[in-house]
Amino acid sequence: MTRAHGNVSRRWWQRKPLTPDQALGWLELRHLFIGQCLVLALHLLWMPIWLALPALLAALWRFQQLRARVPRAGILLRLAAVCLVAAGLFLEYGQMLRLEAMIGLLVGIYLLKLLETDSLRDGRVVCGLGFVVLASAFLHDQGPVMAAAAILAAGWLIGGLVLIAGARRSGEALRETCWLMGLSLPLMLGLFVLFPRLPPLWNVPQLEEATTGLTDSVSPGDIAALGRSDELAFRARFDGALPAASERYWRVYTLSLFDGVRWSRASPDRLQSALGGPASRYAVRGRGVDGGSPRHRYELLLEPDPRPWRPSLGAPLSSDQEARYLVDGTLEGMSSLNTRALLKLSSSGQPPLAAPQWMQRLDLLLPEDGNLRARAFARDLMHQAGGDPQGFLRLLFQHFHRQPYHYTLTPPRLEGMNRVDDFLFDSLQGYCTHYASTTVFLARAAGIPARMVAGYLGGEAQGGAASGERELSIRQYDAHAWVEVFHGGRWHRFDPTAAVAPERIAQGALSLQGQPGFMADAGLRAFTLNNSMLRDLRRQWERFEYRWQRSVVGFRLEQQRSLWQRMFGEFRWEWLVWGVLGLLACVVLVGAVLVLWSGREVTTHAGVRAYRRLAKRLERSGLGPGPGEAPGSHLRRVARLQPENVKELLQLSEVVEQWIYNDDAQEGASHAGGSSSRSMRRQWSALCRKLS
Amino acid sequence: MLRRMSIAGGEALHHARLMILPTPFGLFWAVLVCMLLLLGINYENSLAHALAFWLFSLAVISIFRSWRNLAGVRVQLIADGEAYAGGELRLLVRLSGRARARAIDVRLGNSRQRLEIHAGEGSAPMGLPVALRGQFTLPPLTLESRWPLGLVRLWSWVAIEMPVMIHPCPQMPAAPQGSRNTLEQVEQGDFAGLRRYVAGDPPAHVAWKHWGRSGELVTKRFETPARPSLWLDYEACHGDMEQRLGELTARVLAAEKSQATYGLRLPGQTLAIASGGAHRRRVLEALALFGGETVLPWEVQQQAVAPRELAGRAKT
Repeated sequence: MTRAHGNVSRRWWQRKPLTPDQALGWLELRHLFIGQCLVLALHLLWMPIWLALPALLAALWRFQQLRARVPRAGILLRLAAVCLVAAGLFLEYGQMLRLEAMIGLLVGIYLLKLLETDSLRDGRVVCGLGFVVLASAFLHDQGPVMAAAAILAAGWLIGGLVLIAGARRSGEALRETCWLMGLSLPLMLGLFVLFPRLPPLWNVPQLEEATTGLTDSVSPGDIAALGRSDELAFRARFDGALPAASERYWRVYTLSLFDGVRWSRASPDRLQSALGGPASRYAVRGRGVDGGSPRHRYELLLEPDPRPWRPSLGAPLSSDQEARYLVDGTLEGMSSLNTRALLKLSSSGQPPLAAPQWMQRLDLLLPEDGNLRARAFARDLMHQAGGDPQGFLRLLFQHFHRQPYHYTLTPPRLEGMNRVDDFLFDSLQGYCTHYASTTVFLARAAGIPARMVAGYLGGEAQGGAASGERELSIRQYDAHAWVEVFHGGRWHRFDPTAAVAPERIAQGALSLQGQPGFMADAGLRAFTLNNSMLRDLRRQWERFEYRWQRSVVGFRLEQQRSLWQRMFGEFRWEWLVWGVLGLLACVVLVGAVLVLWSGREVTTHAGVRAYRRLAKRLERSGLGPGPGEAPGSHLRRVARLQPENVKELLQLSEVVEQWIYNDDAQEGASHAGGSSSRSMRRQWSALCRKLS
Repeated sequence: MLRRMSIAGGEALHHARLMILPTPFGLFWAVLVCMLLLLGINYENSLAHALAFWLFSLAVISIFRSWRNLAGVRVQLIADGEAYAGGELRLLVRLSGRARARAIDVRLGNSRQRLEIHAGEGSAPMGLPVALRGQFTLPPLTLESRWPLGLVRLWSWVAIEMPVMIHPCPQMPAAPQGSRNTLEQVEQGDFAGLRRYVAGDPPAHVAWKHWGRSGELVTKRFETPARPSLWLDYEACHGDMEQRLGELTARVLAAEKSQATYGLRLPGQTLAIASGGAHRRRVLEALALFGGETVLPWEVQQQAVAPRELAGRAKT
């Protein structure tokens, strides 16, 4: 008796032995493993590639175990495997509290779960966990490709559940999965649109990803690295016509501080600690500080960026979101961007108008020593111009234009403390940063307040003729640096690069194609840029991607609100709640109707139904069937009572008996496409007509 | 309650008789949806929102698919052969109705069987261990399905009005008895001459002596014997009541096999000598019901089987 109760002798860590109908078979295990591989594939772009190893090892162990070569993986082995994965992640990321490491651990545990997946219950848990791991991949990317891949993986996981629930073959599971996914789609879409988008409930750790883009400080050399990348920086959609190519100066931030080697930002905090005064002197929230009139209105779709900078075409004037308007006429968001985000802006298209006295003084600062030749050159040039800043700039422009200066993305290295001198008089080769920084240095040396502006110049027009080409996509290779000088009571934009490479300004960065170093990292994509058809395709794809970002990924409360306002003219929070409840009520209602409707006579024989209709008619004339009377004998009894219809009624009784009792005829009918049962039905209705 | 909720065998499963409850995995699924929604909210992640909504919608749709799978199914139980105490009651479960239904678990007593309906029909054998003789009513049969995702369990009770008769366990006593000789006697008829050997004749019937004499193979012919008749008497058997009934059952089966006619004498009951299926049924029924004629509920049988099963499992 005691041995009969197997669980008495079972140790606490040993699991209940499985009966055959509880255990997972080959088919299910294989399906689960492929599902794991699919989910893992969504992560491998971001995760260390060795995470595929536990999946393979777990699968190998299970394979050998099913062939009775190795025992079941004990608790020690499983713990050791998890520890190894954790250790590997620690080595990879340096700590375990980072979100990447935690996602990695989740993926690892999910993969190792295969080792102890024996019962149907385990199989279901693996599928359920799969959805969590799948969703964690969305933290990295929410693009259309990711969404398509996720649909595939989720479908596969659901197929696994169907298989575990009792589908005999994969094909059967696939069909049921398609039904389930297709039928659930409308409800899902309804909930997606109607379910109120809540703000984050609590703070969560965010991914820290290395991003390319502009850096906080510039020394000649940095922007060249950007020229090597064709990654998207942001996209803009204009309310009106696009600005001309040579007017697309996207200001991101200004560089005012120079230590002799590097140019760096005078951030509001830095300014406040150095100069004192209220914070509102350096940055204000709400409307822009500048009094200029808005010339451009557009919506930006920003790529994720850990820094709060927001590009604007000229000085920013107002936006739909709370932001900080810095005193130098640039814009900062309130937080960093972890996902792509939308931002509506209006801006002047021009440098900001005014500059306070302290700023003018700040933008005259130069290190006390170094670059003596350049200082002398600047004084000389100012003298030639007769003290007129505009004349000075004209002369400088001519100097760059006439002298053999070259625009190149691969200039010789400049080292030492006199880099401006070296560039200006010796190497004569450089790119926008070299020209801009040198110009600022010379202007300051000549007594004109000046600063360098970092940002993007250009953008590729997107959108077909139908939408009137109102979209621009700006890539990292569009990064540019130029100069703003203060004279005549306002800031003026001055781009010395135009003197050397005017096509860079007029046509955008693509005019640099063929330059060594331009898009050196882009590989195949550089080729596609040269091919007009592929370029078209790429544009199409990017438009689609843009729409996807706007309508799906960027679907937040504001978008929900504007959608309601567009449809009903007004928006209220309660409406969303009512909408969701109404949607669910609809589903329940449709379901109930279906249940009641098909619950009537789900399976009654077609012949029986036809007979019942006739019997009801006969009942009205008092000739209904007696209790327990079979259809055939009932009709024969009626035939005896109604001699005028005897022939039809006897025929009917024959038909109905054949119909109901002759199983062979039934089966034959269903095999032969129902022709025989159809002919019987035809005969029946013909006789019924004659009878009435 | 259970009787009231159940439907009769052969009747189509009606929606009002289908019970539904979430499975433990269904509750896990609910937690999963909430987790994904939280992920979507906290990370302002649209695709996580979408996935959460999709899993929720799948759960809703799976309830309808599950219901659709089981509604309208009819169950029939067909007894397959006779059952003897200590053996197994074999039944054939036949499902019909929908053109296609999947993964339906039929539970009857302690045994369960998974069925599918293909082209409107599906059937599977089931065996119930039985320990006691007598007439029993089958417990309600449970039709259950977790199709398609295992999130909900749909089930219905089907009351099968089918009394089953469990006959005594046939057991011959170890020592040969007098009446047995009469049984053996009838196994061969009287000699009725010779005929030419035909391939396939039993070698025991070949007249070997004749072959030794003439070199010709001939077969002995026997006349079909006049059926012997015998009385199976309770008083003539040995042992306690169950042993006696077991012996009588064994003799009935032996007599049937040898096509003898037989009668049965039980204390207070006598069945005249006769033969044929109806007679056999009457006799076996009398043996099964001897000493108590009430129809017993199946639970009695189950309680008697349980210790036996455990003993059997301990052996293996």
